[in-house]
Amino acid sequence: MVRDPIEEEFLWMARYPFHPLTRERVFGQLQGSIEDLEEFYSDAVSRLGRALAGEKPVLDENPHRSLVVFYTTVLLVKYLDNWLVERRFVEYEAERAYNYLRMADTDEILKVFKGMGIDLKIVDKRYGVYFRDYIQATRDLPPNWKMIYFPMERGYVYLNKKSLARIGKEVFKDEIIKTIESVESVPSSIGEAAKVLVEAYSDILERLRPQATSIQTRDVERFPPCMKYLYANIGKGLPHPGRFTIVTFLHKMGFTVDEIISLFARTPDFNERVTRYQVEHILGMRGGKIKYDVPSCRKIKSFGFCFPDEICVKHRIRHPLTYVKKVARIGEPGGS
Amino acid sequence: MASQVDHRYIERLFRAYYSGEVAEKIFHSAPEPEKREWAFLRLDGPMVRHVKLTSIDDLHSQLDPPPKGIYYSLSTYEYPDYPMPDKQRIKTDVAFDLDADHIRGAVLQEVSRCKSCGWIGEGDVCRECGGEVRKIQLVDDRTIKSISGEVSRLLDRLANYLDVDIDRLRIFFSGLRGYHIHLEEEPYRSLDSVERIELKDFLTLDGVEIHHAKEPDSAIIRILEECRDVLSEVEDVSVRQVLESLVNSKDNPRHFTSIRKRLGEDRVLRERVSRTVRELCGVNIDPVVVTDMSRLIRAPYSLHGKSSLIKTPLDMEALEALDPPVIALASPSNNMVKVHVDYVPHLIWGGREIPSIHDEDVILPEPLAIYLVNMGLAQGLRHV
Repeated sequence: MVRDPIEEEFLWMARYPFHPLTRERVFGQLQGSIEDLEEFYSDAVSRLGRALAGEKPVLDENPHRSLVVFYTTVLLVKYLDNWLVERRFVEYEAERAYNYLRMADTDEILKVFKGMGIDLKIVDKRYGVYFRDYIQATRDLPPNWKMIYFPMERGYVYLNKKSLARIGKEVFKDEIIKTIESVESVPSSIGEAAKVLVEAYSDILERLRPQATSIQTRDVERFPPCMKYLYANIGKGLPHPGRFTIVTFLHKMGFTVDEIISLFARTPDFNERVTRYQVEHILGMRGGKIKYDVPSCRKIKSFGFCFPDEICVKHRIRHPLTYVKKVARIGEPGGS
Repeated sequence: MASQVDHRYIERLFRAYYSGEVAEKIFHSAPEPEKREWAFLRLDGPMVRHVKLTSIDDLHSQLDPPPKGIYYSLSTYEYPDYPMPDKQRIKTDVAFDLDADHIRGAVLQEVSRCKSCGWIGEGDVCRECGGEVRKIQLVDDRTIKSISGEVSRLLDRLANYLDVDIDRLRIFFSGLRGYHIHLEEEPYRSLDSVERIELKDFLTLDGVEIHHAKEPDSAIIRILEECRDVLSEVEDVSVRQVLESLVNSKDNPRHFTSIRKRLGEDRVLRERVSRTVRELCGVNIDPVVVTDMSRLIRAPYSLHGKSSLIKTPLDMEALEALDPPVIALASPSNNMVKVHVDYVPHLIWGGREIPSIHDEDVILPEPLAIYLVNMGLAQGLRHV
């Protein structure tokens, strides 16, 4: 059967809608017409709903539609701005693409990995991943994924197809986050779709609501390294994601709004009224009354503030609050 | 603690060394020297940090009075003279510190000093009053020779499993207790903290549990094979049997799987096996030097404060032959000096046999005499 190369390419993009090659070709155009996506809202709500419910990904959707539905779902996730919703979505989409990757032929595998900047080569039917890419891809996987447990030769870690697909899934997660982060604006009408989703999945969203953090600390030495960095640099004027991250974290650690504002007083262009508005907005006391959560490690990494220490690596920390809990339990760093 | 007279002698020696052309060599020994933080340990104690050097003249100005130690940061920075949080790191070299203190099987000579009466000699208790003794460990040619195998082990791991070009590494005698190996190439200079921790674990085998090996030719099993010679030394019979079986299971995947399964089910055995593998096959580097990106390292061609030996570059040939001995290569002069020695056991220093000395005025190679003074085993340095 002769395949239409354009159609083939389209099918490929639908399988990996978050892939840099897809983003480059499609999403720039879609970002320019976000107000025309209303007909895809109900499919986006279903897609995100399946993710929230922890259902298995659907693979046989209409590929032509599915690509736009994915992008619309990304807009919905961006609008909701809740890291637990985002995590479910990221997991769902990564699993979906992973299912395709497991069935992929060698050419497709090479295109997927190389397009994501992964140094991959094939030697004797094994897939060699350059060790740096391997370490980055497996940083959230359990310790039995250390590179030393696989064959290694001159900088490459050799995997079978199944293991390669598994680490591909991890790289997909980073790419999905990047896709969400690349959204510059969301359509004004998407709030209605979000309402439908919140109503339909209220029980799941309630369960997903993070438990109140019982463990709090004001000892900066016990903060995760990302927060130590942000805390130390508050006075120098952090970029927006940094301010957002440290405000949500400090609040979880029991700092009051006034205490947080006083920390920002060290910035050269400090304006108390503006800072108070921003802090209260982040903490859900103003505006849309959305209370933002502390971002996950994956997201903090995408912001460029992730400087993991031994505890992060050893315990595969995925969220800054988990770090605080872990330190409280094991008594490091700073001792008891 | 050296007396005032000895202190002045050492200061004169350091001053003479740094007044020569060596400043240029030291400055250029650091890649991109103007982007490094430099630090100077003063002879009277304090460490002066966060120094930016833009020229050899800047370095000259730090050499009078002469420092006891000269260091530079493994990292390059946008602002090397700013406080640590403001420096803005650019890249960080990887350095491996192999120190006799941390290497299994390192040969060190030992002296005991009584904590009560000051008696000095050899043994676990004071022979004068029976009191508790403080052990002082001394380095000599045998120490350096005994740990050179560890350098080879490190280089083999870096070349075979990673993609380090050994010819591009810089290997140094650290000036007293071992070796410094500098890796200043990409991509290693760009490794982030997670990658450095993984690199450290890969070399030291920290946290490695062998039952996670995925295949009989996994890196950990190959590493075990490379340590085959020392496996017979393992006293714990069940651990030895497991390790030998794993090494021999290369052509028998079923056997390999069954050993892994056994280890997976037996936590106690697994922990004993992991500990043994780490001790026998891990490379004994100082782990913090690999992972700490704000680390300082002694500058090549500078003097070690305790021994007055030079941090000296070694090529592979010198490393393998150790002839002339490294200590001889690293001596800033062939001067001999008079000194009163309280006690020193038999030493081999720079190829020279030094017999056991007890409460005697003797003539010794200058760096050895300074080393003994700094270790509190001698005093009264005088020119011959």
